Amino acid sequence: MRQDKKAPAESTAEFLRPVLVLSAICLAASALLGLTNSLTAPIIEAAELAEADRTRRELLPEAEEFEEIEIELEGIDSVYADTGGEGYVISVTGRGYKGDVPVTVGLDSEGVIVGVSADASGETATVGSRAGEAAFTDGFKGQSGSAEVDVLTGASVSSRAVINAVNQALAAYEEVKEGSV
Amino acid sequence: MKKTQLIKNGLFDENPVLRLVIGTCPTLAISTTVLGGFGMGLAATFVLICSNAVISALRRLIPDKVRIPAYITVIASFVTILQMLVKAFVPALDGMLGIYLPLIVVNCIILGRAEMFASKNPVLDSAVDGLGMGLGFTLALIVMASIREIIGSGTWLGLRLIPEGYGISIMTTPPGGFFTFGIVMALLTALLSKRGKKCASGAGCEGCAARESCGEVK
Amino acid sequence: MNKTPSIASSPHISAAGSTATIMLDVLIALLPAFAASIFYFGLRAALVTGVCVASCVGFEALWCLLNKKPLAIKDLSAAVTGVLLAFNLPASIPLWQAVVGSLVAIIVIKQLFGGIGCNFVNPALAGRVVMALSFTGAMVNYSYPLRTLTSASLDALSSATPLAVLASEEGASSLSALSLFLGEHGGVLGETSCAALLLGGIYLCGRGVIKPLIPLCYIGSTFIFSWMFGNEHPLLFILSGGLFLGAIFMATDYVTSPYTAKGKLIYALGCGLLTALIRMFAGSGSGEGVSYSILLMNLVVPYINDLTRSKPYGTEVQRNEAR
Repeated sequence: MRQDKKAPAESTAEFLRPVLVLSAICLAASALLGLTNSLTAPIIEAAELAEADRTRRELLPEAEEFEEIEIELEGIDSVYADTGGEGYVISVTGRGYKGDVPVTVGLDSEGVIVGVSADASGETATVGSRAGEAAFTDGFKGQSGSAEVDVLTGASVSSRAVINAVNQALAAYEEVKEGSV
Repeated sequence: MKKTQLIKNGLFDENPVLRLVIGTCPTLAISTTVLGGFGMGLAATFVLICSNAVISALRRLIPDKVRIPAYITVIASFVTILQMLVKAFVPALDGMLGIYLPLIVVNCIILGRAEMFASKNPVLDSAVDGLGMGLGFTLALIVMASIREIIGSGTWLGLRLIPEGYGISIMTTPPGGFFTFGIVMALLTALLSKRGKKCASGAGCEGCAARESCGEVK
Repeated sequence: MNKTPSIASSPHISAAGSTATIMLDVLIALLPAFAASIFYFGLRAALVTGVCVASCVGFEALWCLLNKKPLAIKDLSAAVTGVLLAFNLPASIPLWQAVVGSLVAIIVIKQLFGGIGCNFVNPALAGRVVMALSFTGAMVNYSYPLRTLTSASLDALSSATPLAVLASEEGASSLSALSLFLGEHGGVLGETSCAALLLGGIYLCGRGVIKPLIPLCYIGSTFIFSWMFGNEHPLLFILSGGLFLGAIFMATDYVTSPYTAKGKLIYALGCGLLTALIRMFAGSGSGEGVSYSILLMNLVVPYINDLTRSKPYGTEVQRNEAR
């Protein structure tokens, strides 16, 4: 009930002070954040581009430079073509047993698979996750048109996810091949 | 308070994860590998020291009514700065922590210490308390992560200790995390009670390990 | 007549039985299934069972020694847990994994929570589930029969377990109910021979150790629910997988099932519903629904007990918090 007896001037100050303090803190915080961002943003962007380029280069080592091709196909994340004509790197996301299985396929200029990299770490450990290992993905090398490998025993869903993703990439290659000049 | 006493407090007597039982969510999530646990601990320690220091410096200026929004703003700014720095200079850590890096904002340890300690104590004491609590958090993370990584994956810091195929993979999943958490908490309580620290087991203020520094208990 | 009268609550009739005699009856009832497992899967079945029993008894003895408690192994409950755990494993399971499972079942589920009578779920089943999550590859490496009683060919039987076959394209054409009943199919050690398990169940009912209410209602409700959900071969369905083992030996565990007949009925219906749901709808990987449905119903038992409490004549039921 003491508040009723306060002079009007005091209660205005009481009301204004939290607002002022909070605004001051927010301004200071924004200034500091803006400063840090201007310093770090270029570094972050460069690092992300370099990382993406590095994974593509692992699948297609002789490529000169990668250029993205715009494509609207279900399930296809991205299609990169080598400007030097060495081939393509296509990223697909497959549906595995427990979640997404990102698969990247490297194709040469004739559409023959030169490498497959699959991230099956989200699948059941030691069972489905074997679909991401080289022992399984190496089986795709040299295939074209439509790919097939032996499904891993006990890990049929995860294996199928990778196989389907590779075939989606091959289908995307057909589209791109026809469309490009 | 003596500075070394503050550090020891954060490490053992009032270990945030194992005694105060705050900050348990990132503990359970990130303690699957020792490297991840160590990284998370360092990140949280950085934020703790900075936010405790700043909030302590501003403690007489911030009106009581808006103290929570003010604290959160300060904490969130530091976490965002940390996130930008990590993404730029240590991207591997960003990959390991994932979403738990920005989630440090709502880590109970940071807001809890701001409320319980930094708002009532001088700047240097608060900064040291932040260091102590951060080290305690890191210690808990490393202990739990060691157990889970060695039994679950057979490695420690990536070095293979147990041949492949002999891991008990449930330890790296959430049920294993909860189980390890309970066991480590029980061990610490047993250790402290043997050394004579009174471990009150009542519910409410009587049994809370943070009685000494809490502002609520008169 | 100087003796102070002793005061006790009802019931006032005492019988000769004890925990040990009840557990001994259960072990005897499990003998036919044990014999069947050796017949179908070879001597390694006996080795796995022996290792499980030895580790369960060993861990319980160790715990009692370390905690300076009287030796509880004399009541044979650890041995029963060992046998039941072994029956949930395939014959090829690495022995060290069986020991880890026994450790979890006895130390974590049973002793850490207070010993016999205080476990909150069935220890053998919880051990099985922990093993399934920890050693997935080894646990789904099902065993296939080495010999048969009927004229069924061994090759035809060894491609997939009955539940997998029922879920696949060819459906039930390659399965015969007689084969399933006798146990000539793939799976884990103790679950395959419904005939042997049924023999054990009849023995237990005859000795008064269990009442037929839970097993009959559980198996019956799985039959009805699976038929309601669209399964075309409910008879083959209930003869496949670990349903008989779970219904007769696990769901009837005194500690983790309700007290009253009404409670038992609700419990058995719940188990049947969950088993049918998990087997039919939970995707190819979860196949075996019996372990999870019994465990889930175990968790709910305190609440079932609270709701089906029997009223002493003339009183009102007091609703307390379920402990």
